[in-house]
Amino acid sequence: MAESKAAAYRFESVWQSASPELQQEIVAFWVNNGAVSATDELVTRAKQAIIIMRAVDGSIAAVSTAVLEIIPRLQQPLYYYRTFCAVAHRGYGTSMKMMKASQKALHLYNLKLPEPESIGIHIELENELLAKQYPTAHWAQTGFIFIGYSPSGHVVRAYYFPGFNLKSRPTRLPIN
Amino acid sequence: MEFQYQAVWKKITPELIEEIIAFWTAEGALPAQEKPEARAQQAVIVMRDTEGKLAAVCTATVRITPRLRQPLYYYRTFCAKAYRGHHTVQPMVQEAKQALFAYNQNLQPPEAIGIMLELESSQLVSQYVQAHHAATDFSFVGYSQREFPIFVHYFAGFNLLPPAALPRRQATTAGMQARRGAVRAGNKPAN
Repeated sequence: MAESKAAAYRFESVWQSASPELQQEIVAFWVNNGAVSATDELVTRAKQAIIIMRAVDGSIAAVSTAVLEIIPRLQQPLYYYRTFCAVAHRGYGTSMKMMKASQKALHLYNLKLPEPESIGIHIELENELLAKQYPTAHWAQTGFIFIGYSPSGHVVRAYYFPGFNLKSRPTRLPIN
Repeated sequence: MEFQYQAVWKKITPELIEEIIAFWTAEGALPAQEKPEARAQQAVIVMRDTEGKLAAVCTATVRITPRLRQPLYYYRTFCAKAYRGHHTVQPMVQEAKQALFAYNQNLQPPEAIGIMLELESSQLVSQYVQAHHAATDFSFVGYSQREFPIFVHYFAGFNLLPPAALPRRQATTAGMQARRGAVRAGNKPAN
């Protein structure tokens, strides 16, 4: 049931190509769905959109975003991945599809760069329900592996783009 | 050159302990602080040459690091100088993965959920440059306090266990990290 519902959604890659109109549409989606509190950073966040998930009527149902980070734990550049799905569209098994589409878009983008800006993606599982739903140390479906706990105690996972090399450490950071 | 890989995990005989210690001693492989018998008890795979002589031994011991707070086998291997350069690193790792996975599959709860290794050899570091090593399924999880890259392999389908408590000093460090946060490119996103 959830699978057939998931198939009804369209996943659109907008990484580094979100037009001002789309950015406004994303901001409106977040505001209307109570996904954000501070409005002054919304456009910045909208520019970080990777994948837009649209419902059959064309309206936005979910958005994933990424921002480049160097976390002390790894001392490597990875995208910090986040996603927000409207309440009405939850429970249809779309989170993995969204993640896979995002992985593909970010991987392809970095493959085209003379020097990749990131070697992979990391996520923090803030949603306890999701953490319980996907308890294995290695997620076979998406290739994410457990790399530890965040300072706030949430599970942190990383995925590396296939074949990407570790970079020389950019700066000396404490080990987390 | 043909080698034979023999799983000896939890099947160590007194004779094998003697043989392993003699092998390490002859090769100058035992650091002064190591207790040879205890280390030999940790043998997972022994690699033998065509004459049946020991050519390499890998060992594993359960460790819970502050970084991961999960029990993992700390994997180490030593190959005799005469047998290096024969591409035995990966077969050895694969055999060890299989033996340790099979052992834990029957335990409830498992004593470890995967394997961790530290790439101490500069030659191996320059050889294994990818963040995820597809052939062995080991992934990078950071650098050790000794500055060596650490790689981890998780047993297929194994769940995370409840996180082990942090020692007091580590808990303080984690708190500092929380305040410091990550180095982020661009503005901090909303949410």
